[in-house]
Formats: sequence, structure tokens, C-alpha cells
Amino acid sequence: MINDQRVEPQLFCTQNPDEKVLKILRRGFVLELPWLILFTLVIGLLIFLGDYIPSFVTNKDLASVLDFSRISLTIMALAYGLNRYFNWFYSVNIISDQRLLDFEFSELGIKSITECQIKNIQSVNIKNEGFLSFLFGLATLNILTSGDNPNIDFEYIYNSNEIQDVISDLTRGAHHK
Amino acid sequence: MDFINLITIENVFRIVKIIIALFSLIFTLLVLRNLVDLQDNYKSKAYPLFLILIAILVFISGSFLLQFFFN
Repeated sequence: MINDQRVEPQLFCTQNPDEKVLKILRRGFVLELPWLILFTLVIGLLIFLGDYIPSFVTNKDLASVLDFSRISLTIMALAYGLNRYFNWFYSVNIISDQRLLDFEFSELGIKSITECQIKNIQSVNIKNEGFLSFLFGLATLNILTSGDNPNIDFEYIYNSNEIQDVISDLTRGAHHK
Repeated sequence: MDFINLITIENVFRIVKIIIALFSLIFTLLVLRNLVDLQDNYKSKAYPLFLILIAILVFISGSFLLQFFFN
């Protein structure tokens, strides 16, 4: 007999079968704009240089090496840009009905994963800092936990009031159980 | 003394190119490795698209390197 019981796709590595993901949050993309502008300028410059290398380098072999380096550097810059984007995309804050998770990836190979059970949450504070945060409505949520459990920060997220409300409701529910 | 004769400007430039191509390939492969690691933690539906993008870069940098050995 075919078992037609539907299994929810797993959204993160340690998700329990009965665990339901309520919210997935990311740091505001506006904060990624400085490196994105720099990245665009570098790529533009590398492409632009292609037309000018033959005019100021007379040696054919040297011009060929410079041109080759330019193309290789463009590939590396594209890979670097993609890597920065991947790090932003995969650095998520997850709110499930059982716990909060904070995945943080900053550079190549550097990661930090913090987890906290809903029942251990003591309080949730909203902190607004910086001009960009003020301008684009971003805020940081400080989630304080009891005992030796690590505190979690959901940095520069949108709709912080709504998220605070969701976490407060979950905490209240867990404490009443 | 044959080795001395091999050190020509042309060959030095060729080695420089190979090193640059190798460096580029290693870097793109590291980014690919990082992507696989990221996907291990948070399962994204956009993973195949990301994989294709980085695979194109690996393919280009790999073909740059291979052209020196199959010319």
C-alpha cells in the first residue's frame, strides 16, 4: 500500500520532523549596497580596461599576459561577488514553533550557528541603531535567554515589531504549557 | 644547459599565465565548496541556480587552464 502521508521539506539541517518553520528573516539587503556598488565599479573597470591595454603596452607578449590577467581577475571578482551574495542569502534567522536559529556566514569558511529553545527566552528587545537602519526601517532584535543559553541577535531586520510580537506569543505559549 | 635555453620571455609569460589561471580556478572552486557548505545548513530552493552560476565560472576558469596543456 502506498503511504501518502506528506512530509514537509526540510528547511534547515537540524529540523525535527514535527517542527514547523514560522518565519525566515534576513538582514536588510540595503546594507549590502556599499560592496555591491564597489563590485560593479571593479567589474566595469576591468571590462573597460580591455579596450585600453593594447594602446599603452607595445610588447605583444606583455599585452597578452595583461589581457589574460584581466579576464581571470574578472572571473575572480564575479566569484567573490557571488560568494558575498551567497553569504547574505544563507545568513538567515529562523523562527520555528520550537526554537530560534541564527545562521551567520561572513567570509569564506567562517560560520556561526546559534540556537535557542523558545521555552528559554526571557525577553525580546528592539534596538534601532545607525542612520541607514533609521532610514530604511531596520532594527536589531536582542533575544535574551535564561541561564547558560546564548543570547541571539536578529540583526537589521525589517518588521521588527511584528517579529517581536510573534516571538512574545510563542514564549507565552511555551511558558503556559 | 638545455634548461637555461628554456628560460625565455615567452615561457616566463606562459608560466605567469598558468599561475593566474590556476589561482582563478582554485578561488572559484573554493566558492563552490562554500556554497555546498551553506546549502548543508539552510536548504534553499535557489540552490540549483546558484550551482549553475558558479559552475559556469568554474568551467571558464578551468578551460583557461586546460588550454595551456592542449594547445
